[in-house]
Amino acid sequence: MAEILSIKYFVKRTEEGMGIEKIRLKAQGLSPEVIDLLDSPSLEGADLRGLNLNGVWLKGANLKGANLQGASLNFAVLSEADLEDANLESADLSRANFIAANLKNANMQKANLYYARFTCADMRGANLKGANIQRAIFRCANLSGADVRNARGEPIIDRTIMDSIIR
Amino acid sequence: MIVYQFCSSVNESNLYLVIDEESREALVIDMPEWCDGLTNAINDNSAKVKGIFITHSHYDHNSGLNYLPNQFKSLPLYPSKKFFQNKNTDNLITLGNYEGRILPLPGHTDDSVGLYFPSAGILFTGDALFAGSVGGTYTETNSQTQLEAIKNQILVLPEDTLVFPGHGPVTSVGIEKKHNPFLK
Repeated sequence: MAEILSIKYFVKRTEEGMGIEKIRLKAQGLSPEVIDLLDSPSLEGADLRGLNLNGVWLKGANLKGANLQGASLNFAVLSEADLEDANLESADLSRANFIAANLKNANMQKANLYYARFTCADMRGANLKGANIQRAIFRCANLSGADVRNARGEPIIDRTIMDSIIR
Repeated sequence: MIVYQFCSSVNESNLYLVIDEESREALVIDMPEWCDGLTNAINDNSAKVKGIFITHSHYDHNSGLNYLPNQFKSLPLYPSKKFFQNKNTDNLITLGNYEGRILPLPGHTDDSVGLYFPSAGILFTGDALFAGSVGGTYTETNSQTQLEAIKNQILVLPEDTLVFPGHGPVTSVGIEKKHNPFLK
């Protein structure tokens, strides 16, 4: 049997209680340096190229203009994160949670969006050229002005706004 | 508490291993297929698996029960028959320092259930609730039943409760309350 993807989470209790922002979700294999970096109050413009960030919890994080080129974000949670102008070229975003994220003008060229969830995300002007969008969920997302040339696969586009989309 | 999430090759269903880090007592949640990663996680953590919890009786969540390794074949299955006869009985599962409460979540199937660990702040929802979506139903009545169960059993939980669904990525009660278009 082929090995299947696995993520390990450490759900820690804190004195403040179980506030979700206090919970540390660490993907297997993250180095202490990366964990320290992810603890930063802002990741705006951060260089996160090629990192293994599988399963990481970055809900609401400020990743504006961050460079995530080639990073692996399988099962990562970036719900409500600000990724405006971020570089996600060739990143593996499969099965990640981008619900209500800001991905305006993000570069997602050749990224793998397989089964990722972009429900209610703002993706205006995003570059999805050559991306794998098989089973990606864009329900209620705004893809106006996005460039989807050569994107491949069948996404879910229920109630998706797609004005002036570039095909 | 340690939670392992495995994404199976059976319809992308998730399988979880939940471990109380002190007592090492563990529970497997759903069984689409057994995998080497699960065996390794059990061994690496010296986990004492006390049972398998099945969130609902669909093949992509229980077909692995037919192919369990010998040493796990006699594990008890949860929820018990007693729970399904009377949902107010046998609805607690103790896992070391943690107590899990079984939540009836009918709609996707009649036997759909969730498992909530209040002191850890985590909830396993099976196919009742996903990140940004809900489970498919066959009839409008089932759909209504499911939405009521989600509202009455899940949306009343603290917003920071982590939701581990039967398919797809982790989410939270707060995220779903705010953004899930099926719950508007």
